[in-house]
Amino acid sequence: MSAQCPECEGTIALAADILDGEIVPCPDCGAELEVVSLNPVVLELAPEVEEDWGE
Amino acid sequence: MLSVSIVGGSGYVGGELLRLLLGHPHVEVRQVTSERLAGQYVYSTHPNLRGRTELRYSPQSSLEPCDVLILALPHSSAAKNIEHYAGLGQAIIDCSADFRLRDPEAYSRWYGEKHPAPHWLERFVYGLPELYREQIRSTRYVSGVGCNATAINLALLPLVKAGLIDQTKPVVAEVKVGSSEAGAVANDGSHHAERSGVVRSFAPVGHRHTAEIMQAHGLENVHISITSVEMVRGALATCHVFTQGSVNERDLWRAYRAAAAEQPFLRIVHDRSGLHRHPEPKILAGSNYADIGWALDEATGRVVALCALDNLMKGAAGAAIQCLNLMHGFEETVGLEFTGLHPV
Amino acid sequence: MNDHQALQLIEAMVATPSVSGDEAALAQLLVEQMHHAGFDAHVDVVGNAVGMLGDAAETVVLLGHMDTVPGQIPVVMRDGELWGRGSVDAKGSLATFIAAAARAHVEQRLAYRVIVVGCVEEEIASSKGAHFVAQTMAAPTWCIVGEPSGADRLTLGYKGNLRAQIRIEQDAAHSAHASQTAAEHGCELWQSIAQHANEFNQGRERAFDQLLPSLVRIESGGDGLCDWCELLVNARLPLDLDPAAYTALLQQLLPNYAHLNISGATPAYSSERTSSIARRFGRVFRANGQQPRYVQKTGTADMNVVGPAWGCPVVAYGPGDAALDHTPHERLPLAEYLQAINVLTAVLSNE
Repeated sequence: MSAQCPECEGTIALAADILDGEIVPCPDCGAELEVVSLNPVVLELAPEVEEDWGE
Repeated sequence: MLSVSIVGGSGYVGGELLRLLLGHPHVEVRQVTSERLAGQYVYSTHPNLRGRTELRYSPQSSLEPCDVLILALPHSSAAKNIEHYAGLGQAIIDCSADFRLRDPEAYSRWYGEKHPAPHWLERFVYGLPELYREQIRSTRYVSGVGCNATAINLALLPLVKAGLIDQTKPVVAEVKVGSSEAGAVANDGSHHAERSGVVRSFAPVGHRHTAEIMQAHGLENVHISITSVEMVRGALATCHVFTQGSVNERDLWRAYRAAAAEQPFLRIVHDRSGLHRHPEPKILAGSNYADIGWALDEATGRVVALCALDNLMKGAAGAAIQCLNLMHGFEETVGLEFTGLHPV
Repeated sequence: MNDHQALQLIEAMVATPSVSGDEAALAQLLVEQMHHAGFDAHVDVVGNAVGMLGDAAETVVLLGHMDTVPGQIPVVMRDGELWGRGSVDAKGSLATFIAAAARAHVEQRLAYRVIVVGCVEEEIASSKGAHFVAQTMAAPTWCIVGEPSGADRLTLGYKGNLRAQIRIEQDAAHSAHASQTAAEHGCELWQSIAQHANEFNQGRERAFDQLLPSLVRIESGGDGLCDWCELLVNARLPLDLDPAAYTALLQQLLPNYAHLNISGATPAYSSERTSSIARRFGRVFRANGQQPRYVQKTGTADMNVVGPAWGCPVVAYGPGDAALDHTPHERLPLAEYLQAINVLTAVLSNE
């Protein structure tokens, strides 16, 4: 199974048991991608973790 | 087995040719010449080869016929004696600059003298497989490549192929190079106290390799500068190009993928994060890879095209062996599988 | 629980003062409100309000806190915002928990057995309510802590914290002498603590990953025989430096005549962005047409108490702007509160 990187259009090989919400790195451009749907597999750029001062 | 002899084997390129050929499964190294060192073991000058071969340097006068003659001689020596060498080698790969340019006029302009054997120029194919693979497969005569020229040519290759360059604007390229590019013979500038730690503008304008870039890519408005830096092996080309029309990251990915497809020694390095986002010559020492990448300034349309390589490998000896493989129908990568060291 | 009832709940909660140590009235209110919404609710032995709802196999804990810092702010509704102490920190989050669980239950799509806890004493060093829950309640499948992240964002982690009192004593000496005073020694000591943190932080770009000590107080004095200098240092700790390890590092920095007293120690805690609960929130944000957002914070919360104890994924969620916490401008946009209830209802529901 494979999908296309939304950032660089590279081909990403995916394991058959991939989970919704899993994060996969693109082997070409290194983008962190999130699996946002499984049938068909759709990848989106995973949001980076922000940081805030305070509670 | 293919019999190969190296003429002028005591320099750094000669040493790398020998290292590669000794590990090549389809090649037997017949002779290695050096007038100065005739009779001495080749490992006296290439200490990494101790235990790998008992070959000794021969004088040129004892050269015997062979399948391939690889010339690693100082500038203009090959051209002056090309008829003689052609009588000895079924095929010739000349690592010098003598047969790189097709146009004798361009040769006189950049090398300041008339070409000694102009009628031979058209018989040679420029030894850059990424551009001339099919011609190399079907020729007996291949020229070497300039190491700086190769770094720039491969950096620009994806943009040229995709027609992305605005040729009304200058293409400016800077190459940072290591000390091995200056050759094995010491001079005032290579004295340790003078060379160590330098960032030396070695050829800010007027470098001869400009001609090879103009010829390879048909670019007229191209300008190069060479800077010597604190490194033994390696070259990094940083080329400033302005695009025609607006170009985004995906356009560039497409252009680079198209250029790198089917090229066994071109790797795209363009990572979003981490230490190794861009091509870096340090990790390529001893390998035949040329790593290419870019950075895009969308606001100004400037693409900084990058290429890192080992000047003695992809920039010289490695390219020669790659051509030898193509000329003789071998797997293109045979003998060139080493992937470099990390850390180094 | 519909929007109207949810608004009544938050107004009643904010209108009931509950400064740390004085949470009983609010606990009573919450138990009544939860009963009314179908929860099985009670006040536990330390004063926490606890409500249980649903009978699914998997349990989730929604852990808020009832108490606020002191400082009364008149409770008024103005321009769609509810002003009042605790509206953001963190009654908005706790009300969101109750309203969302009740709504999912009424709509018969509650996917979990939900335990809502309104803890006592989160705003003071004891964290009595959370410690009691962490010690007495079995680890759930996952836990959400009630702190303002903003309705469109999820908090994954908080830094750790160490509070250290350092006392230097030395024989008194006349100030005309060349010897260093206790105050000078104290200043030097702080410099070395700051310097050490600078070195530790080399190559660490994110504040979340840095060691951030601050000098809260420095005092000195003497009684004619003994001169002393006392420093109160508060350090925010990254995930890879736990309080014991930093205490050991401080001991090495201190001269042998200094005395170190640790008055508060909490390790940093963060859940993975790919944990089951974070992914669940991500799907809900996306289904609502929002790009998921995740945040790590430099503060410390009850997540740092229950996270290490339970070892399950713990995140923090709640409406409001955390920058208003503990300020005289504390106010909660009610549209955001209702949006947070929608998000959490979906998170708690069958997919």
